[in-house]
Amino acid sequence: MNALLIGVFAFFGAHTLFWFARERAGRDEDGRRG
Amino acid sequence: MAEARFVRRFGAAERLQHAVLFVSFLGLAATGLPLFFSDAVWARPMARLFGGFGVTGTLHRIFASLLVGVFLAHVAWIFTRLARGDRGLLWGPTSLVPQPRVLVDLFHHFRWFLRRGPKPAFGRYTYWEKFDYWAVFWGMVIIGGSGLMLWFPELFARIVPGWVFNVALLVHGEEALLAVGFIVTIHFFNSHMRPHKYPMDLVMFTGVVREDEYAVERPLEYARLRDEAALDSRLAPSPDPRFVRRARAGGAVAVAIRLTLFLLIVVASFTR
Repeated sequence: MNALLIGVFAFFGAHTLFWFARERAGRDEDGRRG
Repeated sequence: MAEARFVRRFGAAERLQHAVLFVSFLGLAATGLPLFFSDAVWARPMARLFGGFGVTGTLHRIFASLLVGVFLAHVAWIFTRLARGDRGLLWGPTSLVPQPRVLVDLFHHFRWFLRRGPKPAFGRYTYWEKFDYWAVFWGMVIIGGSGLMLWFPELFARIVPGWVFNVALLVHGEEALLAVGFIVTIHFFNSHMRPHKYPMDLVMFTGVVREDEYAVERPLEYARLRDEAALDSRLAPSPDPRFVRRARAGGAVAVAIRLTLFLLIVVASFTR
């Protein structure tokens, strides 16, 4: 159970952080805010 | 300036199901956490707020009944749509069933995160939305199944040996903690808190999204609707401002509950 908890949060946690950083950088190719 | 046009993304049935799921889930989380972390410093005052641990348990079962009800209604709704010939539910661009494309999209999304490629073009449902959807099914089987065993032990003891109840108790709590942790952090972030959506995305409440946003966020779905000449039939009036205000107020309450539950989990995890 702990491995599942850690695995899901590690993957989606990293996914979320990368996503946030990318949108926050404001260099989105679609030209919107971010 | 031309008035913005809106595209319908979710119908009334989908929004109603999500609303019931949303209320029952937050209710289950709020009443389940003081039971799971009963030794935490905040557990006793929180349970007292609901009327004591006994009442908290009863409320937990009421919310569980609501969740099981909406789950069964959803499954019935799916079968009804299939019986009416809606094969698009099972495969293709309008299906929530994971298809090889989810892995391709995931790979390209990470490439975009790392500035190694263009942003992938998404369709009606993205890979993270499909994960969220199927996580509910997974959760209903594991959390719902173990919860029913703990609710009706005499009935299940006729079928399974005693040690299964110990496993059910462990699985119910740990899996529920995973679900609550995931919803109050990652699902909320992906849907509402990231810079392009902040402070909240109301599409699941209003059912509609601005056409220009839809074309950027879901270019494949937008192109499909346009190519199949189905776009006009999906155009919808702008949402009622009073409804939007109410949805925002409801969303703000949900965010407050979410933050509270998250903090309670953090406090309990580090002070046990």
